[in-house]
Parts: sequence; C-alpha cells; structure tokens
Amino acid sequence: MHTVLELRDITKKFGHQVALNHISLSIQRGDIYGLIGRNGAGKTTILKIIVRLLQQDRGDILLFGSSTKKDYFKQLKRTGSVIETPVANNQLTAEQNLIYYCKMKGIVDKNAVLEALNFVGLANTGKKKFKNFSLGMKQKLGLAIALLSKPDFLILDEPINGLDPIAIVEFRNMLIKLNQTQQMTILISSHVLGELYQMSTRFGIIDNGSIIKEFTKEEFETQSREYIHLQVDKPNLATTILNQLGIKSLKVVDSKTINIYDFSVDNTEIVKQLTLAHIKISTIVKEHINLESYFKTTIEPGEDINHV
Amino acid sequence: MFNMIRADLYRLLHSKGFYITEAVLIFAVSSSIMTKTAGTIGANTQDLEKFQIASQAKVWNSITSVSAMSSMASILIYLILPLFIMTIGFDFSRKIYKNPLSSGMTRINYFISKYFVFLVLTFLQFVFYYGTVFIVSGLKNGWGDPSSYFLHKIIFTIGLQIISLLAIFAISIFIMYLSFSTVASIIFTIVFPLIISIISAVFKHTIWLKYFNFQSSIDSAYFTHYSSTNISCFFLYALATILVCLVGAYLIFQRKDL
Repeated sequence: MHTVLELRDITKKFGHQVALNHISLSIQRGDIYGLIGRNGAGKTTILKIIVRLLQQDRGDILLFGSSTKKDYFKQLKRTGSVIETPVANNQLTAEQNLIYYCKMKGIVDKNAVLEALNFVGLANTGKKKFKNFSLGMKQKLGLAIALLSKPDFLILDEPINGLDPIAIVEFRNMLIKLNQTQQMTILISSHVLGELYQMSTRFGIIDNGSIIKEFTKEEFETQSREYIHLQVDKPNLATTILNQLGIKSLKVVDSKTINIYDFSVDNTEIVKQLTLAHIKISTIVKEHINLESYFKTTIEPGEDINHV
Repeated sequence: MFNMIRADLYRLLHSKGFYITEAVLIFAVSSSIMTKTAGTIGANTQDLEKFQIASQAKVWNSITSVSAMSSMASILIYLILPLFIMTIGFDFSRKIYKNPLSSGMTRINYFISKYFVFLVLTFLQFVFYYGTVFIVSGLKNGWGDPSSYFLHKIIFTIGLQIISLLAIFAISIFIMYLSFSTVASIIFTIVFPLIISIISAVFKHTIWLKYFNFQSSIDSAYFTHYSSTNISCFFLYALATILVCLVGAYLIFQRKDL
C-alpha cells in the first residue's frame, strides 16, 4: 500500500482554543476516506492544514511521502480541493472560469476544459455567470476546477451540503467513478452520513479536535450486526437479569435503553424474565446499526457492558 | 508569475468593469482636450493652478497636451483603482485566493505574481492615458514638435508619477492584506492622498511631509523645478514607502490563517 497522506501528532490552536489535539491519521492510495464529525469538530481545520491554508502549531504532515516545505508544495500540485464554499470568479461563466484556471495553472491541454465541464455536467450552462449559479452548480464547478489538473488526491469539504437529492446521487456517482476509473484517492468531510457511507471505504470520526475512531467499511459492516433495542423502566435491574440469563454482550445507552447484541436467548424468554421481575417493557425490537447511530453512540457513549 | 498575468488579463478582458474604466478614461481625457481644461482632484496648489491656466493659452497639439495633461495624471489613481480591485481586491473579498493557494502555489509566489500583475496594469494604464492624450490632441490640433527638453522632462515626469502612484497603492495593498477588505482599501486609496494633500497645504514648512504628498507629486512633476537632492528625496521616500508596505503586507499574509 502507498501512503498518500500521513498526519503525525498535528495540533492547532486558535488563541487559547484547541482546534486540533494531537491528530494522527493516514490515507492510502485508492481510499475514499470519510471524515465524520459535528460542526466545529475540526474537519475543515484538518483539510485547511493539509492544503496549507492554515499552518499547524505542531506535528508533521507527509503528502506523497514529502514533508519538507519545498517538496510539500510540489506534491500539493498533485491534489485538487474544494475547501468550504466553492469559489470562482463571479462575472465569468463556467467555461471562462475553467479557462482562467487553466491559464493560471499552465494547463495547455485544449480538451481539459471541455472534459471537466462534461464530467461534472456543466457543459450546457452557456452564458450563465457563476454569480447566478445555484449551490449545486457551484459545487460542480468547484469540483471541475479541482479536477482540471487531473489530481491524484482529491480533498472535498462538505461537498454535498445544500444539494438536492438528485444532485447528491450525481455527485456520489462522480466521486465513485473518479475513484474506480482513475484510482483517485479522495478525502471527503461530511455530516451527511448516509451518503458518506455509500461512497467511503474508510472512516475517521473526529470530535472536539481529536480522532476518536478510525475503521474501514468492512470493519464497520462486521460490527453493524443486528441487535435488540430494549426500553425498560429499570435498566440496572434489567441488566442484572439479562446477565443472569447468560447474555454477555449488551450496552446501556441511556436511562431507559439497553442494546443487546447477544442473540443466545430468545426474546420471549427475555420478556418473561423481565416481567417476572416487575420490570415494565415499553419497547423490544430488532434493529440494525447504521453509520449515523454508530457515530452518535461513538461521540456520546452510553455505559458499555462487556463489548460491542 | 506569467501564468498569473495571462489568467488575470483574461479575467479583466471578460469584465465589464474593465471596459467601463477605459471608457471613462477616454471620456475624461477627450473632454479635457476638447475644452483645454486639465482639472485636478483634491487640494489644488497655486503652482498647479498657474501651470494649468498658462497651458490654456497654448494650442493643444500632442506635445503641449501631454505636458498639460500630466498635471491631471492623479486621475489615474481613480482609474487604476478599479483594476486593482478586479485583480487583487476580488481575490480577497471573495476568497478566490483559496484555489491557487490550495493547489501548490506558495504564498510568496502568489504575492509576487499578484503584485507583478498590478505593476503591468499600472504601466499599461499610463501608456493608455498618455497614448490617448497624444492621439486625441494630435488628431484635433496636430502632433507638434518634441524638443529634447520635453522628452527629457516627460520621461522624468512619468517616472516620478509611476513611482508616486505605486507608493499610494503600496499602502492600499498593505491595508488589503491586513484587513482582507476591499472597502477599507478603496476608502484608504481615495482618502489618504487627499488627507496628505490637505495636511501638506496647512503645514507648508514641514519639509518631509511634502515627500509623502504623492498625489501632489504626480500632478506637479512636469512643471516643478527640482534640485537633485529633491529628486532623490522624492524617489527615496516613495521607494521606502513601497518597500515597507509590501514587506509588511507579505509578512502579514504569510502568517495569516486563511
């Protein structure tokens, strides 16, 4: 495996506020790495540090193996990025904007503009100027600008924010196509977790400036097996009874909820024993962990009994 | 750097603002030549007034028009300002700098490239201003016969005007990189020369102040008789202002979280 990006112990402060706290992560070639976090968790700060819009206070970054300043900027030319809101020249059309960036980047391939426009589906926008674009069109043009130099590594910050459902599907398909046909490595931050799950191959959860979990899609799918969602009025007593029944894998989520991951005891028996102990059951249902609930329980953990 | 110039010129040529600015320049120059009236913006000195009145008595052929209109060249502050906003200002107010900076362009490279674009545009705007004066007046009243004194004087005049104008805009660039605000930079570009002109008029005996009166230097460069010490001081003060402001602007930019 070739490491495209490696962050080592990155810390960034804004005044006295710690935005990133000893962040370490690595991204391998061909990954679509989904960076998950709440607003203000530090996602954009990480991305800005990678593209050098911000400077970290401590720690090292290796991009395609390069860490020295001169070499890093050279390697940065192999990346394309859209950080925060996509920006372009208001008074220019999509095509004119791409020609502008071709001239700036010294791209001489005459087909580059048309290829990029066709790829993102903006070839028919005619004389419409960037200032009159919808958010979806702006996102697409931002992606087209990032793709002009045919990067090996694409960095996208909340690219599906504000897109309508059809545009989201189109955007997802575009990224998957880039990854599969061009072996493009993609780092994408988002809190639209359903979408992120459909395209990413690896995930990192960031909270309060720290990476608290990293996992592959395969690992997640192994973990995201079915469980019994149980809501009772006395969870502590219920936990004791469940343990007595031989159920080893469960989790107290909140003051009413217990998730049971052990299916060795039949539901009917669980209901019977809890009822005998005068525990009122309001819900007992089989559920499946999705990325959203996994994210939620990871950043707001309940009381773990045994393991998940 | 040359890629940036090509890109920014492409962007300018696709902006209505650029054509409006050049149309205003042609209109201002043509109407001045037609009416034989070189105006000025800001504080008006007695010497400037005398020169402009004396100019009105002459036939405005190309040569006399160029010398007369040199006393109105501070209008270029207002005719370069839109180009400055379109090439540097919008990049900051709309955060367009993110695209080149996030794809491998270093901040020093970006800073120098942008300034180089501005230098080229300033030079071209001077060429366009004096070129328009020369052609419009030549077509109306004939081309005239340039003396060696005129050629020597006009080269010095344009040199001093360019460096004085660059000094004004160096401060504007400093404000731009400091505040990332186009509005603050525009206000400063307009207000600073006026304030200095007024202060210089009030404190006539404060010698060093006149060297910072860049707008007055622009308008009076042709008809003022300078000693060699004076010339050195004007150039040194302007160059020092440019150097200090640009270094300061870059240091701010280099350390700024974008």
